Amino acid sequence: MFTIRLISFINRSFFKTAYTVPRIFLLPLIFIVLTLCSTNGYGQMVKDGEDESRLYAQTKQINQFFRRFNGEEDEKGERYYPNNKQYRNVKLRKKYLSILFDENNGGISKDLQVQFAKDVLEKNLFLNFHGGNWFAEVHTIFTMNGKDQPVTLFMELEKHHQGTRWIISKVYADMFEPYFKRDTTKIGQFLHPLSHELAFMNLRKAFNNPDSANHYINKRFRPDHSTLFLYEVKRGNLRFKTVEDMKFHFFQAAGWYFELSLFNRPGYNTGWLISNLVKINTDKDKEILRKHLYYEK
Amino acid sequence: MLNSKFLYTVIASLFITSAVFAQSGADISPKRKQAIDSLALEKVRDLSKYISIIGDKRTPFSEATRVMDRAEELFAPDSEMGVSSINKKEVSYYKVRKYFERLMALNYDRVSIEWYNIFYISDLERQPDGRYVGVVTIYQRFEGTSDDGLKYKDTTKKDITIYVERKKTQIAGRTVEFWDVLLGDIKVTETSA
Amino acid sequence: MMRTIRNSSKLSMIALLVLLMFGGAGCKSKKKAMEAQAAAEKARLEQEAAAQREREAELKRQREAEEEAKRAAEARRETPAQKLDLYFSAIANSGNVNSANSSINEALSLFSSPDTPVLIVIAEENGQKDYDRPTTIRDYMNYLKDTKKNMNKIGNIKFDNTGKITELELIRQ
Repeated sequence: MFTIRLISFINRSFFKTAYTVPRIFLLPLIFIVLTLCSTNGYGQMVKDGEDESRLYAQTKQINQFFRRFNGEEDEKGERYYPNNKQYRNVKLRKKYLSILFDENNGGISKDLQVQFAKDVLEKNLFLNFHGGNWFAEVHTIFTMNGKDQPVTLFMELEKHHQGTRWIISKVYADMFEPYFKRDTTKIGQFLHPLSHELAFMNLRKAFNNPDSANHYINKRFRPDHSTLFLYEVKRGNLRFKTVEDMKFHFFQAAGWYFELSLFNRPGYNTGWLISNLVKINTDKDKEILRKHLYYEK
Repeated sequence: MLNSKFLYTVIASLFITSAVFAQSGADISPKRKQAIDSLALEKVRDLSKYISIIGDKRTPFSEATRVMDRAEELFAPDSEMGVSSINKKEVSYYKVRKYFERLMALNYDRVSIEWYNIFYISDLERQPDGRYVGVVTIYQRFEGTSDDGLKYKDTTKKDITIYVERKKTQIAGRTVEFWDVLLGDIKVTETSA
Repeated sequence: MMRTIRNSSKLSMIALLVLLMFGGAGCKSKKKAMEAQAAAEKARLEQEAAAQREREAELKRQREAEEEAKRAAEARRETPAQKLDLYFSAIANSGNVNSANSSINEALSLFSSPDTPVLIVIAEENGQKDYDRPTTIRDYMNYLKDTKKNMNKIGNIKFDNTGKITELELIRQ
């Protein structure tokens, strides 16, 4: 179903023929076009039209997701510059917006997709690489004293000197969590309210059992994994091993949140695609969502 | 004698280059960006060609070594290949030279390396030191066959870092400004295409 | 050139003046002696004029020879561009490494050194040329051999006084 839609998308743009041309006639056409478009750069070229058209359809880079979302490139990935008539063309954007979703995701209803696309086009919403309000969630493996430990790094772009760089804005690691667990619904251990008159001599008893140490910390305390992470890395206990995967969270389109994930699978609906879409009605909604994403319960 | 002395000066000055950056904040014009894009793409194609020569079992050892040297010259120092497959998400890291050597030593009797005609070039973004950085994506199909008929096939996506820097050099007493395009780290991902 | 012309006209003016002066002297007793003296003087002047003409002709011959040498050199210089074009395409289209290498060695004889700088123009905007990283002729020809891509047009060529190439500019097409 999706394949047909994408092919007809390419077809309409390239050949300006009817939308309903059967797929069987289109594949050879696409193949011919791709062959004609080829340059003589490589020694040995793969001559496989269908494979290649799949790769054209793939959203190959996050950069391409931005350009497709904004309508800033043609079907082959050639960039449109602002002086080009097609640059950010509404029709072009409409076509792109329809292919930027993970089609296998039942969680994003067709209605919501349509509503999103309509909103984006009506309100002229564009994604801006340097516009902030988007960040990466990178799942990595570190070894802590020789044992593999997953560590999630939240990363953002930051201006620095002559350009920009990615920085770690937050860290979350399961391995740090048990140390901060506490049940505030129970009475638990405490230092009585007249401890000060005894120069807090009861602290000795309080810290006798390390497990209950967090009973003595204020209720609002939020542990900061970044501090622990940096401390352990600097002490040489925590060592980087590998990146497992990553996704991106976007709050740039006003009134919406979407998640971008990589789909490496057969077919035409591959590459960087929207894997989650939420309509945000209030700032409070947004805050709850943000906290959820950052593992701040 | 004097002539060769003069020439040495010219050649020496070729390699003593000093970086000059475009005016702070000034962006590269679209036309210039296109010229740099195609220059970058040319370097990527050269790399593809070199990889095919290195991987080709008919290439004599001495030629393969020379081509490896040339391929290495395309890269910024310390560049690495990060390789992951469909079954194994974990990234394996190789220094570029090591990667070429592994490619040459692969235990197949016949190796075919082909490149898809498709590529994608990102925007050029400025990094803190003033250099520009971009990513070129290309796809490669590999097929290794042993004499006993065993075959291995894969298609990989290669996301290649490119660094672009405006540099100056002296040639025969005059200053020549040029765009230095170097390849950087490469992420190699097996695809199910 | 200008000075020579001025000098020669000055000389003939002097000669004329001398002739008039001697012609104006009416003393008959001294006439014969005077005539002999005048003839000698005339011969001397004629000799000088002839020498002058000779010098002028020599200068002209030199100028012509220089111009011809320049033209010949220019003609010779057209050939290297064509030769280079042929070599480059032979190297890029060569079927095997050995024949490519022998073309490279032949072509190198046109250059003052294998390290002769090669500049590649990738774009030109408002008269300002954008270059690729400079390379040397040896590296460039090996590049042609490896990549089999001959995509640059021959641009400016600089020569030394023995006619060898000291700098080559190529233009990406």
